[in-house]
Amino acid sequence: MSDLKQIQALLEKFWEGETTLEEERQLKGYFSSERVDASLKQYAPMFQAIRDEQAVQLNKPKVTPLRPQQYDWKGWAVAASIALLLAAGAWWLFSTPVESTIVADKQPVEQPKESPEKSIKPEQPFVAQTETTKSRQVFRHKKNRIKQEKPPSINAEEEAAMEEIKAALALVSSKIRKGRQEAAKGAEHLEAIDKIFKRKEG
Amino acid sequence: MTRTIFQEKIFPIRHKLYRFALRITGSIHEAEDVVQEVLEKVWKTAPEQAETVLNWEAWCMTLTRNRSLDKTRSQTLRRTATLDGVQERSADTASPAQAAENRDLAAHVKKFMQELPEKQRLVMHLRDIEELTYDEIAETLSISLEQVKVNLHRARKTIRDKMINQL
Repeated sequence: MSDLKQIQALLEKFWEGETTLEEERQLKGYFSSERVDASLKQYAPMFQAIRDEQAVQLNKPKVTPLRPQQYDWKGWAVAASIALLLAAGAWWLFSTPVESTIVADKQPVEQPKESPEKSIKPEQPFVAQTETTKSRQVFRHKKNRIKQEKPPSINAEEEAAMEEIKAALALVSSKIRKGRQEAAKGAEHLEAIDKIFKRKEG
Repeated sequence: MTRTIFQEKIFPIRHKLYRFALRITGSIHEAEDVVQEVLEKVWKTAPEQAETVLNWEAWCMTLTRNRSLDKTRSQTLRRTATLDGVQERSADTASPAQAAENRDLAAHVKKFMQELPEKQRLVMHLRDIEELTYDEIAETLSISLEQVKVNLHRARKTIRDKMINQL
């Protein structure tokens, strides 16, 4: 079979979509040569278009947006802020002597009738008066002092709370540290890829 | 995604991904964005896919197709036949005069190709320009082998008829 007849036969198969890849390459090679028969020149533009399209290349690969995996340290930063607020609140709650604010007994001290010359200031329950008054005042003073004192159980709870807060803060800071390390690793990857692209483009 | 896999399997096919994206979007700018996004996605998700992806190239082509179609549909990009500024290297070995004439006529054929229905256009692109097998085309476009053959047949015949009647 002559070349022309062979090419004509291949072309018929080509339009039907029945050619193999190898046969198509054969057709492409024929139509890119100078020996295209006049009867087939009308089909040459299509094979020229195919060659042109095959030559199209990406001009500028944008490499920089290749962001590496980032560790979500921001979430841990928010958690740290909340933990600090809770810690501050816990400190305020456990350290403030709440009962001392009501030590000043609003209830006026009973003035004994036996000793009216001694004035008693209601807000100062510690002023000694008669024995009865005094005893009442002492009792009240002791009562208030007892209220001011923190029972051992509250100290233990406070300590436990503080330990938990310290542990949480330590965890948060380790996560933030890890996040920074991951970000640094990612930056190294980014530089490596950038070098690859620049080398390839060069 | 290791650097080795990326360098050996993904990076070399970037031009093919770009041409495919260009065929779908008809826009150089959008095609560049698509390639960038695909490379990013491959870099990030490839470690999870490493066990299941048998053909990295086909996977990348599928990602490119999906992303390009998303851009085309969301932005209602018009497929333009003019791909001005596209860098072309001529591999023509015909005489200069013939080559010039062919190039002028080729521009018309490119327009005809861009005007094909989407499936025919993509099948013809993947077969005649990227030289994929029918199986690879079917996988990339998520269509059957029969659909590949039918669409390729229709696309080539349409181009032939237009060349005969209009050029």
